[in-house]
Formats: sequence, C-alpha cells, structure tokens
Amino acid sequence: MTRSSWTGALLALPLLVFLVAAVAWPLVSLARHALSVPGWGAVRQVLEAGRYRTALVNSLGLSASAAVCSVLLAMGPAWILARERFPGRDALRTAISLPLTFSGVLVGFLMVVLLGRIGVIPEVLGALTGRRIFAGAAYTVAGLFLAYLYFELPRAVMTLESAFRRFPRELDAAARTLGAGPLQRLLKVGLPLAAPALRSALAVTFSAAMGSFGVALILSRRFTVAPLEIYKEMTGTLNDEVAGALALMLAFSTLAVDRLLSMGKR
Amino acid sequence: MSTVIVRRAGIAATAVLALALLTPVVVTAAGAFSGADAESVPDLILHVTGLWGGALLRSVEIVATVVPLALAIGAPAAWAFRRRPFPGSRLLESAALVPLAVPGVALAFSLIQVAGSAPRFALLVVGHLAYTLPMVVKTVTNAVETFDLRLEPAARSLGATGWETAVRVTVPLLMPALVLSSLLVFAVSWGEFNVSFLLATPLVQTFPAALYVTYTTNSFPVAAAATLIFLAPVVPALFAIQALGGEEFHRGLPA
Amino acid sequence: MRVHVDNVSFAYAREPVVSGVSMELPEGGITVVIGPSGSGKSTLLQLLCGLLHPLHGKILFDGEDVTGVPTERRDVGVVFQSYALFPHLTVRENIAFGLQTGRRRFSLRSSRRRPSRRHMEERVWDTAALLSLERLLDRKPAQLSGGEQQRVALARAVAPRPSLLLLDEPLSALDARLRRTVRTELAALLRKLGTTAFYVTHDQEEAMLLADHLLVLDHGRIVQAGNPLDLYRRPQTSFVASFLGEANLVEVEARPVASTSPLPIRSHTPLGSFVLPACADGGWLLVRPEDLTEDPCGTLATVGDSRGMGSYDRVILLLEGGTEILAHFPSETSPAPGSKVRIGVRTRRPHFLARSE
Repeated sequence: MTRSSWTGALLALPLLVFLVAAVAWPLVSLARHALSVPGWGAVRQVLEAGRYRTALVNSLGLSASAAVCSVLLAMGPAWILARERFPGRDALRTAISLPLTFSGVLVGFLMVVLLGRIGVIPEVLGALTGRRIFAGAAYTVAGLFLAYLYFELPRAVMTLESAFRRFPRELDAAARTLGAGPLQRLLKVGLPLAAPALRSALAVTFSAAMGSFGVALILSRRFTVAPLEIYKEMTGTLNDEVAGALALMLAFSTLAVDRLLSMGKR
Repeated sequence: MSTVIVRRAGIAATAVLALALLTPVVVTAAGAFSGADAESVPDLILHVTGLWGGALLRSVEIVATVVPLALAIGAPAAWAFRRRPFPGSRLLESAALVPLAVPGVALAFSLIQVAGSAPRFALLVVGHLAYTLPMVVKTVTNAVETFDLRLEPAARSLGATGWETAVRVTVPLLMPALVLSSLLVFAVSWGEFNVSFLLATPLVQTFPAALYVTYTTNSFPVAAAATLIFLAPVVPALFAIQALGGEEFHRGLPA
Repeated sequence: MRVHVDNVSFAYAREPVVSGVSMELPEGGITVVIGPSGSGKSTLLQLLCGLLHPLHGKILFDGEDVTGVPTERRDVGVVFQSYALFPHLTVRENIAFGLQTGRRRFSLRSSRRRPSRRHMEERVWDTAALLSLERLLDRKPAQLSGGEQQRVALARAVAPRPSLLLLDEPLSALDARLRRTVRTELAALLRKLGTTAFYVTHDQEEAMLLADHLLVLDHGRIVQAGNPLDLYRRPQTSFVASFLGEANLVEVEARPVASTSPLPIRSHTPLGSFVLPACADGGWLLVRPEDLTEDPCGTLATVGDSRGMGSYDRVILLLEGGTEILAHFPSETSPAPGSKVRIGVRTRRPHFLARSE
C-alpha cells in the first residue's frame, strides 16, 4: 500500500470499527444464536409454526404490494415534478415530502384519527348518510395497507423525481427525430432509462415497509407483521432463539431484496 | 394538443396526491385544536412538556451526541473513499450503506442480545449512528465528487501542509455538505422510533417513544399537541434539507 | 428535398427568438446558418424538425405544408449538439433505431415501409462503414471518445436516409485540433451523401468550409444570405463583415449626393482615396487584413505589434491620426516593429458599406 492509501485507511478506520462492532457483530451473533439450536431448529420453527411464518409472509406480502403500488402511483407525479414547470410546483413537492418527517407511530395515529372507531371519515359519512361506514377500518388489513401507502408514496415520489431530473432531455427529442411515436419512445427509451430509478425506488420503499414497526404497533389487530412479533417475543422473553431467527430472516430477506434490486448499479 | 392534455392531467394527479397526503395532517390538526372546550394550544404544549420533559431532554441529549459523532466518523471516511482510496475502500463504502436495509427491530434485538448490559444511552446512540452514518457517507462523497480534483494539490503546491490543506481548503469546500449531513442526522435521530422504542427503559426513553405512549393513553388533544412538539424541529429541518438540495432524506424517517 | 420557410416567427415567453425568417434551402446543398449565441439559430433548426412549432409562418417540404406535422413524421435526421446518444443502447442499436421505428412518412412520394431484417443489418453496416465505426458497433456510448460519439450521432441521423439532415453545432463539443480534421471529413461526407442539409454553427471557418449557401442570423433575423465568399467580400452590414472574419472598417466621411456628374468622384480615407458610390451619411470601407500590402505610393504607417502566426505575420499598423489597422503580411517580408512603412490596398475598389440610418 502507498502512503496515500494508508492515510485513507486510517481516516476510514473509525467507520470500519463501528460497522464491525455495532452492525456486523450483533447480526452475526444473532445468526449464531438463532442457529445454535441443533438442526436449524429455530429457523424450522419459524417456517413451520403458524404465527411466525404468517408474520413473515404477511410482512413480505404487505411490503411488496405497498412498494409496487406506491412506485406505480408515484411515477406520474414524480415525472411531472421533475420535468414540468408550473406555478405551485414547489408547494406540491413540499406537501408530498412532508410525511417523510413522520415516524411510523405518527402515521398510525393519523390513520386512527381518520378511520378509527370514532374516526373523522366514519363520523362525517354517518352525518351525511345516516350510516357509519368504515368505522374501525384503520385496524383492518386494508387500513394497514393504506397506512403503508401513506408513508411509502413520498419516498417513491422523491426517489423517482431525483432520478427523472437527471434524465437527459434531448433523448426524447432524438427519438422523435428518428421517427419514434409516443409508445415507441416510452418502450424503447423512457422505460429502459427509468429502470434503474424504478428499481431503486422499489428497494427504498420495500425496505422501509419491511422495517416498519410503529405503524403496525398502533394499527395491527389480527393481522400481524414480523417486526411486531419480534417485539412481542422480546418483551415476553418466551422464546429468544425463535425471535432471533425471525429477526434474522426479516433482516436477511430485506437485505437480499435490496441487493437484488440494486444489482448492476454503479 | 394531446401533450397539453396529458400535461394537465399529470399536474392534476400530482395535486390530488399532495392533497391526499396533506388531508390527514390537516384534519388531525383541526380536530385537535378547534373544539370549543379545548384548552388553548400553548397550554396544551406546556402540559405535554411537563408530562414528557424527561423524554424530551433525553432526545435532545441523544441528538447532541449523535450529530457530532456521525460527522466525525462518517465525513473523514467519505473523503478518503474519493481522495485516498485504499484496498477494500469500495467494499467498506457499500457496507456503510447496508444498515439502511436492516429493519430497526432486528438491529435493536441483536444489540440487546450482544450488549444488553451496556448502558442504554450508549446503545441508543449506536442504534442511531447505524441509520445516520450512511447518510453522512453518501452526502459527503457526493460533495467530494463535485469539487475540483485539483484544488487540494493546488493548495499543496502553494506550500500548504496536509493539515493546512484540510483546514483551509477541504473543510470549507465541504461545509455545505457537512451542514446538510448535520441536518439529516438531526432529523433522523430526533424522529427515530423503532430502535429507540425497543431499547428504551422507563428511565431512558426518547420523545418518539413517549409519543407512542401518549397515543395509547392520553386524550386526543394532548396526543395532537405532543405530535406538534415532535414535528416542530423536523419539518423546518426538512425544508432546510430541500433548500440545500439534499437527496438522502428520500428514505424519510424509519417508519 | 426543397425546403421553403415562409415568414416564420417564434418566441419564448413573449421574448422573440426568431422573427419573420424566410429562406429557401437549395435541394441537395448545404445551407449553413451562422450567428452569435442567442441569435436564434438553434431555435430555427428545432422549428425545421418540428420540435418547436412556429407562432406565425409556414414551413414547406417539397411544396407540402408541414408546419403542423409532428417531428416523428417529418423525414428529417438531426445531429444534436450534445449528440443525445441513447446510453442504454449499443452503437449498433443506436444506428438501427431510426430504421426500426417504421416512420410513417408525411410525404407519400418518399414513403417507405419498414425495411426487412437483413436489409436493416446491411444498412447499419454500410452506415458504420461510411463513418469507420465498424469496430465500435458493440460498444456503449459511454465507452467512446468524443470524436467517436460525434460519428455515431451522425451515423444514427443518416442511416434512415432522411430527406433533410439538420446539424446543430455538431463539432462544438470537440477540441480544436480534432474539430479541424473532423470538419474536413464532414464536409466531404455531406457532399458525398448529397442530402439537403441545414448546418448551425458559430464558427466562421466551419461555415466557409461547408456552406453552399450561407445565412447570417442576428437577433432572430436573417441579416444576409448568399454565397459564402460573396458574404465575406461584400457584407451589407458591419456585423456581417466582422462576424465572418477579421475586418478593418475604415471610416468614410459623408459626401453630398448632389453630384450628378458622370465622372467618378474619389473619396478620401486614411488609407488613400477611392472611387465610391455617393452616400449622404458616409460609411465604411471593408479592408480585410490580407488586402493590405506594402506600396511605395501608399499611406505612411508605423508598425506596432507584430506576431508570427506561421503562415503569415499578424501586424498592427498605426496610421497618422491614430487609426489602428490590422494587416496580414508574408513572414519573409514583414516589417519590423517600430519601423515606418507605406501601405496600400490590393483591390482597386474595396467594398463599401453605407451607414444605414
């Protein structure tokens, strides 16, 4: 190594020490602990036992669908914010990015205010139609999904917007001069170029949803998700190995999807 | 003609989305503070501050510890990744971003498992650093990439020592990125719930964790006032981050 | 293809960019538009290819009105200043792009169906060969040098054999040395293709080298159009004179128009006296630096700064009365700085520009 790379290594040493001691070591020891039960016992238990497997499957399903829906819904607004100029654009962008500052429990709380048992929407609908519909909808799967969409949409819009802003403007013009109609331009130029942005938006929203804990803590009733089960296990300290295995599998699946989606970048 | 219609429809859709995201906030705020029998907002806020003073103070302490630590650990490393690369620096750089994809609950769980006897305050700081360091590393590497590669050699050619170059050239050039990083670290550390809640004890509790307790036990106006106190520093931080062109906040607070 | 532009205007947010431009692009010829930045030349190009639509006026291709026809149906090829190569496609795919779109040509006469696969491959290969890109076909644009990217951009534009080729400062992103070699090749290539071409530049040498027909644009208006040498020798305004090369504009004093005498009247200038048209307001004599020569009967001048440029010396001469004149002298006979020389104008009747307004 040259002198300059020694300087670099020295400057990055604290980061290395931190990552090893505070991230890698705990996760590795979590894995060791979870796999210490002979024959992958803890992992098997997660995959077999109803509650844990349901929680993991629920987390994966809810996160994947919320990620896909939010990215699909975000594409149009992100493109408009990135490429069009119109009065009020900055205000719209600010409004859309505001929920980025909400922690999960706050999102859950907003959902309860709107769609709880005495939520604003059922009350208003009750006054209008005489029947209180959607009361307590916040605590159903649909309510949870809505809450997930609520915190995912700003993330999706903002991630896509910054990617769309870097799109070279002339490429669309170039495609037109070469005779490509709107559909051909979308399929042959727009989407291939947007693919990395879409993938990173999916990665951001998916890992946010997988890690989301506060929303489920407030809203989840019968439908449970993995972070919630881990929390219950921790506070109950009933079955440390199984909770560890669940945490490990949650972390592993999130990381795996994130790596998969960001493959081929940089 | 058709492009005009598409454009208008797009703008309308964007406005609808903004409205949909804003409505719950507006409704909650209105509901909390418009009731005839409601206490005045300042009174409520005083009440909440009295109720959760300890947690507020703890959050301030944690933020005050995490911000300088994150900068001290992250910024030099980020500079080194671009200016003094060493074998394995690419790997370390991508490893620094990994925690962003690790669920907070899982990390908190493993931290308790390996260091459950450590002071909780220290564990909280470690947990917050794991989620804020990636932002510092990304923001500073981006900034280092944009400034002229030859400025530092130019300073050296004018006789400045390595230390003088750092103090008089590198740090001033990186100042906007450092300010931006501080704001990002501040916002995330202030709002982090997942790690904080799991690592919290009755004595060491952060304000977002207290917020949860309020939501489940206190009356609606008190909960709304607590929310307001929670948002008071984060929302201006978000505006400042956007004004400085920060993109690392696109992940938002851990949900 | 004959292109006819009739009184076309365009404005960005009420700021006029192109005002009442009319022009005719000769079939198969290269029309070069030159002008300073902001003169509206790129806008004019975008109006021709339909990326912008004029507020007023008409654009005709072979007599057919295409003013409202969208770009993708206009049968044009464009080389963009930034090249705008598709970064996700290889060179081969970039060149093939325009062949695969199956452009529905506006004009029935030139309408062609989408070529067969084999025909397409042949066409890509031929075009690549024409621009010596054969070895680069499987590269991505990011793996190419600036000069190579420029050639790919040109290949992509000409591969579908458009009836009109538009080039927007295609060489401005290249460094000076490369630009000189590429522009000679480009001139040869454009003549070989024989496509009607519209070439935007701000470089005078490029314009002189390429143009069959030269337009000078300023503030959105065509100030002068014609044969390039003609514009160089006989500009109508001082702007055109100095934009197309180094120019000495020698002041000529106003002289009564009253002279109805059949005999030529000589006007006196700091460079001697010449027979000039009568003019009420005076004007300027255009004397190009290469028009000046040492002349024993000429005007007395002091040699100021002198710089050897290689093929000639660039000399600044001070006339009596303080007028500064720039001259190009052959290096061997160039006078030494500080010495006195007598100079004269090579041409008997230098070009005279009347002062307008």
